[in-house]
Amino acid sequence: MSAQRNRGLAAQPVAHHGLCGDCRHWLADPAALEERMAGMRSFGSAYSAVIAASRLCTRHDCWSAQEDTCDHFEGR
Amino acid sequence: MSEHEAAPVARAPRTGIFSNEDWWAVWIGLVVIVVAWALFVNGVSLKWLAVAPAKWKTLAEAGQDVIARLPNYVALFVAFAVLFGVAVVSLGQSLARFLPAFLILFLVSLLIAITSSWAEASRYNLEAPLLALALGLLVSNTTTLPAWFQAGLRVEFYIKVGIVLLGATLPLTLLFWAGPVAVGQATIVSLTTFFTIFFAAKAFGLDKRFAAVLGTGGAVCGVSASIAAAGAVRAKSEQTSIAITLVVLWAIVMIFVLPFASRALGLTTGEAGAWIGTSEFADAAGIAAAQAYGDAARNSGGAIAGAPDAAVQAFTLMKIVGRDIWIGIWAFVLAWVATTRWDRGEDGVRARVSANEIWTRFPKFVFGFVLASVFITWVSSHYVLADYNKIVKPELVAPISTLRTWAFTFCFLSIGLTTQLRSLTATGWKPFLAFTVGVAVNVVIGYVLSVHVFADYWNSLAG
Repeated sequence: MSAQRNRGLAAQPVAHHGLCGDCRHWLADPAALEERMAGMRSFGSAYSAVIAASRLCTRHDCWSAQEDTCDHFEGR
Repeated sequence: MSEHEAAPVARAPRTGIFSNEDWWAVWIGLVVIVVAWALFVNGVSLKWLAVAPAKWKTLAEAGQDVIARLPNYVALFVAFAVLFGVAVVSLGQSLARFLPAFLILFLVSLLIAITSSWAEASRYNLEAPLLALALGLLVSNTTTLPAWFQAGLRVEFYIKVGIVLLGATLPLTLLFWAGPVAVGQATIVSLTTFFTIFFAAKAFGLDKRFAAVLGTGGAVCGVSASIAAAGAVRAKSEQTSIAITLVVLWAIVMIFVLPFASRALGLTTGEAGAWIGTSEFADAAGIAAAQAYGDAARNSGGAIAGAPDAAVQAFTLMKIVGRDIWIGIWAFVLAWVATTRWDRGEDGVRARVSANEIWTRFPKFVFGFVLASVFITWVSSHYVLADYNKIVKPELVAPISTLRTWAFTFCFLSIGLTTQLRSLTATGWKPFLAFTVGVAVNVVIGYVLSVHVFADYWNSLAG
């Protein structure tokens, strides 16, 4: 089973969904991310390479990547 | 989507060679090394800047030494403040908050260095790493630190700068020689630890994404791996917080347990470093444990066998080369599995998997570590061994090592000051047990591989 079928993905992001990176629920600021995630500064960093384009979605309270999409997109 | 509808474009991510702490650690480390070399070839040494307290027996001696070196300490602070400050501004952090916080961090680090230079310090286990960590933990858990002070506590940044500088003390031949052993040992331990935690978590009824985040945190590189895995499988933020809590708690415990256990078991510095590199969860925590053991060996009068620096060298080979560099591949594989094999989460987030993840999550500071090794190996190749030991080592390599020790001390103190136990998320017993089973398996396998199976390699490190 392809990834797209199982996860309900479109080949391209659907326009009216918008991308998580453009959504107001997407916590883009690394400082805010460190503030929100207790213990993250102790042995990690929101400014490091491993975090890449992953950020927290405050709407779903989960991680999402900049180019992810969902049905609850709200532009900034 | 109709052909007239354009796909939305996400805000451009920060990419490029100045976009994160990893890259800045590379540039700062390489700038220091190249400047040290440029001075060296012109008959000057960076020693005047790379100062450290001398051994002392009385407080009067310690005071006189500080006064005599005061201009050097001021210059050292300014040099670090400028280098770190440029990175801080580039990363969008507040320089106005960073500078006063870093000044305090520097002064306390100096006090720690002075204390650990006491002639009797080793008798009371007052090695700088453990002292910095213990002091930081005591302060952060008994007082409330002002918010602006957090700006100076960049654990990951300081440790990465220190690791790049560490590359200047590791010959490239050592990387080629011991690297495959490190990768082999790390692969065995990482896979075993991951699947132990993953299946234990599943047996306790935890969500697969949560199990993956816990497993990667225990198997690869602690908090960084937890974050990378959480981002890859689109885990819940609470699951990540719990994984971070478990990593932090066990990492702190292991900083103290592994060096003491190594000493009790009579391990050499190379064996202990490899064991710590296999069984510690975070780079910063592992460097603290390995350096503490190396410092103990330096002051043990031969009771601990092996070159003192071999502990940190073995740790670095094992942890950085053996485990850390694979985090991108772990993230990519987990993202693929989560997307194609696991049920879609209730959140409705639609994810895409890209092999680009392997590169974007790669810990770039490793490039600086390897480049530093290449550069110093090239410089050293122009000297016979006797001249290397007489000229290159004291005039070029030793000052870089001293600056590395400072960066590590900033890091160790920052670990303590950022680890506020009361602020950590309650974990619940199921995640705790699943992670702890993995810790137990990891520690035993790490010991067997480091001390019995691959002991010859780790004991051959020259230090």
